[in-house]
Amino acid sequence: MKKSQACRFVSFLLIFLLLFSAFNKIFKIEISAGFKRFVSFYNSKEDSIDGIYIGSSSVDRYWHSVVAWRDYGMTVHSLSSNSQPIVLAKYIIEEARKTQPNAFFVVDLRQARKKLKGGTTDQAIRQVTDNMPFSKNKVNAVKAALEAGGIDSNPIEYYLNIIKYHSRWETGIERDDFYNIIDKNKGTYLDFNAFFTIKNKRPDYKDDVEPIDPETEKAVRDLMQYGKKEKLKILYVISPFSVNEDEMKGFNYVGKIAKDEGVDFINFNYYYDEIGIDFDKDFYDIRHVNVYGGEKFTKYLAKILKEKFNPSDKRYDIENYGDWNEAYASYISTNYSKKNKEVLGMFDELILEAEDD
Amino acid sequence: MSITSLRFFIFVILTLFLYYITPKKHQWKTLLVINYVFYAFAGIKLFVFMLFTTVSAYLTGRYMDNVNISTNEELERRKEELSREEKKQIRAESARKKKVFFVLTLVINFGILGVFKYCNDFISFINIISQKFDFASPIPHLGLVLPLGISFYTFQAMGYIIDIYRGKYSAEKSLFKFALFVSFFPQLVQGPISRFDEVASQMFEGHKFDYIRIKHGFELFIWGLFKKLVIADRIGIIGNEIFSNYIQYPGLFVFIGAFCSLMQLYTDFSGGVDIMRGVAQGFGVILPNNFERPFFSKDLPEYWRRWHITLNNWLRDYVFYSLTFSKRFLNWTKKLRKVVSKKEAKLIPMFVAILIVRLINATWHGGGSQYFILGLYHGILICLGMQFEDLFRKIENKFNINTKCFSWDLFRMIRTFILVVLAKIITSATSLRTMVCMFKSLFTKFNPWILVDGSVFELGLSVQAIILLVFALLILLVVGILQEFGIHLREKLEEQNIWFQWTVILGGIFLVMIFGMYGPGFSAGEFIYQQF
Repeated sequence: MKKSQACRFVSFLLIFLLLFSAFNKIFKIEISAGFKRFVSFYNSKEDSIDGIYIGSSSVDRYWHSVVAWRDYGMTVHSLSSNSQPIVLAKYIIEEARKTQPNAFFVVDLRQARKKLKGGTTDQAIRQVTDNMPFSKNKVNAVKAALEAGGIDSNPIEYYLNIIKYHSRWETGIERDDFYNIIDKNKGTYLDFNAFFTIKNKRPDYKDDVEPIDPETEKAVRDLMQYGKKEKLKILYVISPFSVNEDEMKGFNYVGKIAKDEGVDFINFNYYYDEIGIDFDKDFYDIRHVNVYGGEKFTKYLAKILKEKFNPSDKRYDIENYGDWNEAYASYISTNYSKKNKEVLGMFDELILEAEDD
Repeated sequence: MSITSLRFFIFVILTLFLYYITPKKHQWKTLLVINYVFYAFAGIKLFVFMLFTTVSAYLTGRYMDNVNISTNEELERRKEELSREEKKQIRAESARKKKVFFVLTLVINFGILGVFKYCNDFISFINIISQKFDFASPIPHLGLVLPLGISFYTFQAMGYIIDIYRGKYSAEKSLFKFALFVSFFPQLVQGPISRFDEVASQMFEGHKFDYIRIKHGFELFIWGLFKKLVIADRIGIIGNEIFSNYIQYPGLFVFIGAFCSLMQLYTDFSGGVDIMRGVAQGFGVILPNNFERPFFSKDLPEYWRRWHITLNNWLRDYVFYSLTFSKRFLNWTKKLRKVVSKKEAKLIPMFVAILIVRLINATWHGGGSQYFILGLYHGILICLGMQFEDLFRKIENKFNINTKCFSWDLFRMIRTFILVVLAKIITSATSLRTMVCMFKSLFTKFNPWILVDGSVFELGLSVQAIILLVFALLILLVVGILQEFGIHLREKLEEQNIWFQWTVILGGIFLVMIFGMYGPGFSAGEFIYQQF
């Protein structure tokens, strides 16, 4: 090959890679609240976040980060996604530690009741890994999740978005796909359904225990051991909801595992009254709190986090944390407009009765 | 390893790298190892059949070549002393010596191919008969896995020994070089069926890294991917939908289904061949083209000269000519002259040979009765065309038709195309009964309004996908027209400014990457001809 041809080839390759990277960014997972949540996290200044809250939808529906900011000036960002596989928690922590080395972690273990094999979906994995920039940690996360979930997919598909999402041209690529849209609410789920109310049954179960799936148990233990080994400040929790008897037995078993491993664990299904949860008003479906329930839970947990980890109050550090004030303002505006005008006015008649079982 | 997968692409890049870092003298050895590694991906157990074909064809070739050489030497040595009759006798003796091994090798190799390809069809046939007369319980199908490329490498190797038998060229002396010719991986998946004298020397000689040649190969590779992933796998959805639910889709739908299935077959097959020809070009080997825009054919014989060219040429050279120039056929022609006219006496044996070739061609694709009917359909139509050629000329003259203008050519192209589309109903229908129903429905149900009432948007593809498909087919048509005018697009592109070249190549790459049907969510179809 002549020198000029080699130069041409290299230039061509560079242009190709540039275009490929652009298309790879455009043809990505459909923009959702979860996607914006991760973008918001990655856009945070280095070492500016006090805590990271990891887990499934039982995190972002429950944790109104700006409420904790308002009350204590703490910055606790959620990195949650729907049905987030427990096996990925370790890798999300690793990812967070890259830019937030001093953060504490809150890990919701509601997913510990699920079997990993058969219970882990491609979508649940992608809602985490697609949001991670390419790194060794991402490679490990994909490998671990595929193995744990027993999913027979080519890992390359998880590193190159375009392989999976190129067909989105058919359903429509939108303007937002060309940008990285940030979650203005610092990870809090404020979609319209979070403003609904249904009546749920208040559970009343005892301390019976039933083992969880052995593979999931191994993943939970691995996570806890990893946290101890790395000397991380982690609080394991299970958020409150209209839990059924079998679920409660499983969560009690998770409590037993936590005790065995010597880690901090709170099952908030034992603290309905302390939190002030009203099963008639504070849920929008059987498993998730609405904005009212979320505010109550946040206030309660934030108090615990303040006592346990004692993050400093940054509310007056406008220069560095102005975006949290803006997030709070946005939260107030979204919250009040939806609560008072649109949602309650429009959907009063849709208040549903929860099923008795 | 699917040839549309990223894994295959990486395999090609790595093997090209290996090939070009090998000293030129030894490149063919590297290529042989690469071929066997590629074949091993398909299953190491099936490797034994390819080895058998390679060794048997090599040994037979060598033996026959030795006989040819000694015969020629004897003839040369005794040139003066031998009479014409004696020379003939020596040649006959030589042919007799060669024949035993020659026939044995042909029978065994085609026998292996036949067992793999037709055994289950034969069992199905026996089961139908036994079920009809209720004399035996059904025989289960054999779980035979067809060795990758068995049809292609068998035809190639057998073509080689036929050529040696005929003394067309000398046999290859090195077993390993011959093994390279049989196993060259770009032609294993779905052809083309190459000839030893056309490609072998290219495989054996060393090549310098040639940027332009590799670029051209890459362009062909992308073009093949475009045909396969953007068109074939998408248009096939419509065909499948119509043929699997034929009762729901009467009349013109049947024609649309057959059209889509035919276009799927063409773009799938020619796309796959283009991908592999592109890869071969990377290794400095120009494989023969298997398609020359067959839908521009003006009659069926021309269509078969443009469609799956290497198979049809193989059948022409080794079956058709063998039959028509055989003593039996020549004697038959002589006898027929006493009964029918001179012209008919010439045509009748030819018709028989055409029918045999068309039947072999059709059954090469499968052993079912539908393939037999397909062979008959094409064979009979070609024979009728030849038989009534004079009548057609008279009609043209009578109606004062100008046959030397574009409109007449266009009419003939459309007529041929319609005949080919109709033939696709025969093999795409799920059974003979379905085929009959679909033909009946096509000619009895009048519903042309489906083209404008939105029905075509309910055949399994979204509106966007159909628009894309139409656009892609237009690209295919325009490229085809330019090639018909003798424009070599890759050479033309090479003459353009670099920014234009790059725009076209990058456009092609991203067109495939974005609009191709691959990755999770799509099950990119296996190449149709891969199963042959």
